[in-house]
Amino acid sequence: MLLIFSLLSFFSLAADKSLDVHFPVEKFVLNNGLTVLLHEDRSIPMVSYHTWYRVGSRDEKPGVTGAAHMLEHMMFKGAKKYTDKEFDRILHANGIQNNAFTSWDYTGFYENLPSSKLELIMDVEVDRMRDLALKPASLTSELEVVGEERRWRVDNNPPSLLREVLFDTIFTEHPYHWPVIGYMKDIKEYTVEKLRHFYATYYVPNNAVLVIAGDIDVKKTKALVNSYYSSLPSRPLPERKYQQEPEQKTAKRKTIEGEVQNTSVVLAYKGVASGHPDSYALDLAANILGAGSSSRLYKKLVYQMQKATSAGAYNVTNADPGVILLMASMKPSVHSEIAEAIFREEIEKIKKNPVSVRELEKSKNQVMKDFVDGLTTIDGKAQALAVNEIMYNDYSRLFSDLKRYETVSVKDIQRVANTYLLDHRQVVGVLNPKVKKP
Amino acid sequence: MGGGEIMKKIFLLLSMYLASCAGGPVKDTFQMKPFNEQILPNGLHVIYVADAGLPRVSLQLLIKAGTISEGEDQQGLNYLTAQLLEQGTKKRSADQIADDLGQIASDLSIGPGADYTLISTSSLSPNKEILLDVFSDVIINPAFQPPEIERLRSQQLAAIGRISDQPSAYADLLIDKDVFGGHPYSHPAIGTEQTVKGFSRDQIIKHFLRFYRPNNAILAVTGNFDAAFIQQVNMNKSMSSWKKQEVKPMKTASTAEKPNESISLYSKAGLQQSEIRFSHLGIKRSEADYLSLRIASLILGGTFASRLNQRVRDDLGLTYSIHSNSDARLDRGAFEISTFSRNEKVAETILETKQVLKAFVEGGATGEELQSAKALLLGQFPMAIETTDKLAFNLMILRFYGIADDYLTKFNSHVEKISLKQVNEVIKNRIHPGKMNIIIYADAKQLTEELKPLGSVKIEQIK
Repeated sequence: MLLIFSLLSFFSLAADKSLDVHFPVEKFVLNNGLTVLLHEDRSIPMVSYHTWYRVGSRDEKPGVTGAAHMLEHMMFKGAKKYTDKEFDRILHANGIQNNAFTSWDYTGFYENLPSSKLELIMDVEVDRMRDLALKPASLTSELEVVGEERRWRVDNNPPSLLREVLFDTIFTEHPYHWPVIGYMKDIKEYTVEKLRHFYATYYVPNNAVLVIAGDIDVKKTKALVNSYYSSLPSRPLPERKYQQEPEQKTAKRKTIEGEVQNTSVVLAYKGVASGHPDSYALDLAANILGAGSSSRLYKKLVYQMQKATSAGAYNVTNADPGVILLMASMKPSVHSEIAEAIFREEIEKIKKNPVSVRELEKSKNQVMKDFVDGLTTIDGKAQALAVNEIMYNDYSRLFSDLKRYETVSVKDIQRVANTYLLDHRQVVGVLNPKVKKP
Repeated sequence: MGGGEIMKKIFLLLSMYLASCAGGPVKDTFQMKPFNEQILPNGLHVIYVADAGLPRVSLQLLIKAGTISEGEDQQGLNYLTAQLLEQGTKKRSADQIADDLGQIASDLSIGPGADYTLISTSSLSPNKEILLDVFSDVIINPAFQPPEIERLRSQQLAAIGRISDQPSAYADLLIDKDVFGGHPYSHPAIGTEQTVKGFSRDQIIKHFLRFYRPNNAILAVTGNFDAAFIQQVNMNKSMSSWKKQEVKPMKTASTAEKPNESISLYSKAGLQQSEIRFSHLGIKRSEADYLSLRIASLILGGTFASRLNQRVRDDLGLTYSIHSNSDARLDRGAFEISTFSRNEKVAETILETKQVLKAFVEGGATGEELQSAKALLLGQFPMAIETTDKLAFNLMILRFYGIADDYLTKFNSHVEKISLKQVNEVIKNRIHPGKMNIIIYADAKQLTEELKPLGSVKIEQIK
């Protein structure tokens, strides 16, 4: 499984006024509840068209893990008007590139198209939001495709297997404990009926965000969106109640073996949800610990001690509380304990001693740089808007979260470290090379 | 930060550089961003693309050295040399370089490839002077201190050991070895345990002094800067002290197509899936067939609607991904098909792929397929040069391969002019189903009966 840690790092810092980056966005909500964001950028004659739904693997149940991802695949297998193989054929014949992704919390579909094809893509997206075909024959072959995807991403990829085991240990009750792609036994047993229920429940306009960015006329596009999407019916959404994760009382440890040459180790702590007041200080603390070759962990483990080939730290936030991860890939024959000791030593330092003002400034600079880097393309802007709207019902958090990072102090870093990075909340995951039989 | 995302499909059409993926203007009104270029007195070719849209500046340096510049016993020398650039200069330690760049939210990306090495960095524009200072110091004044060499060597050896843990990347290396024979393209850029252990400091310095010369490089400066910054680049102390010297290209072994198809199984215990590659020698980037072959490859296996994808993935569910690619280089590159499948379906995947390939070469593409491929290339073209970084990179690549700018500026008409006859001739002349090197990277113990339909398969054990 591919973990992407960067989507919500598009927040800006703008202590320097010249770095105060904003762009205009028109937001409106149709009568059926569809939230629409429009951003005009005429730099190239193309449009990025993103349709994201608030449904992910956390909306699944044991026994149907991976259903959100499977349904995402089936969204490419034809609907009422654009049927079966016509879907891909028509898109490519019109110069349109498309793709999709599924996460714990949401599922996104996107196309990059010549701006002259805007109405065509609206027609296609409305068709599959209203009348997805979900044919048994298509599902039969796609089950095999997803099975291969799982083998490729996880089963034949030991580091991904470590991640799967780790999250299963960190989360015991909350749905984040199963992988987005699902378990192989569940993948084999999806039925059209199960997926249709999922589709009918969540693929409704009042559960979606549409972002159109690029070479558009906002007024005309607004009228087009109205004319194409208004007739889609809204449906009541189920109450979202996710199993709360109980507070972890004692440290946990999981060790697995795989066909690898060296040991990998992860030290994890449960963190906070996106937008939580402490998420900003945790982002910066993780940055100081493990972002890039100037970070504390890299310098210690890779540069000074020369015991690891890589080291890093991440604060992963989601709609529900996420995790703080410290990771290292060891040199051949080096045990994980060395990295674990350094992880703990560096965490204790951050708890006991204030980080330097210069380090804090560096981490804020890096957040600002990530924000600017994410806005260099129309597709990047569309993604940044979509993720903020999906997570907070407020795209403008993309810009306003700036102040939240700006106000993080040295004391805040120390406080969050002492709040979340506690010994009894630790989960250690280790992947060791398989011991060769003599 | 968000987590836990998986993509449905893995074609990344847009991420391919324009030298292999370009389209023409889809609107008459669409103009590329203007750019300037000049050759500095020391021979450094500099391209400037300014854009004040965002407070950001990038520097990209293309050095004309790669695996193609390495002898048989020098495999991995360019990789080690390039990685050592940021490990200390005459005035900065490795630690200081990391700190100086980290403080301005920057880092150095170092990509030693087959034909060239790309070194790039970026920062917020208020920090551009610091960025230029560190970047030029790193490029021009590396110290190659012995402790740093040993530290990096040990990292490189660990990375070499780990390659076989990444089935997809390792299968790519295995097929290169089969296809390119004695040519440097058969070498892994990262080198081998044996060669990397043996490099002396002298060898590294010699390699650096031979290839890392201003007259053997192209620099691109892009983003939010003004004329004063151009002056700073041109007058930069380090840049001006960078001395030109004649660079003689390496003589490389010639390559030859194998006369017949071959199938090899490289076995590693514990693999849960079979990685599969088809490949034979391809074309040079400078050849006239480049664009037609790119279109042919797009039709065969370059999109979700392509023949291979429709049959092997969508109809039969044999794989999550199958794609073809024409990898054109300075010397002859490769024409290749990449996929993977569950072990019990490895023979069926190979046989179905062969069947699609055979029908494609015998029957050629259809007019509808050609139109669709052209529409996709043209439709996606603006994104290939959307940012100043992408545009500058593509300009550097054209200059490196000696391709005229009209490849870019008149791409629309180049694509439109390609006829079905041309594409079908290229398919017949450039794709040879009977000469494919086919490799499987899997656990041989799990493939016994499964291999029988394939006939003779050579098996080699990987430790």
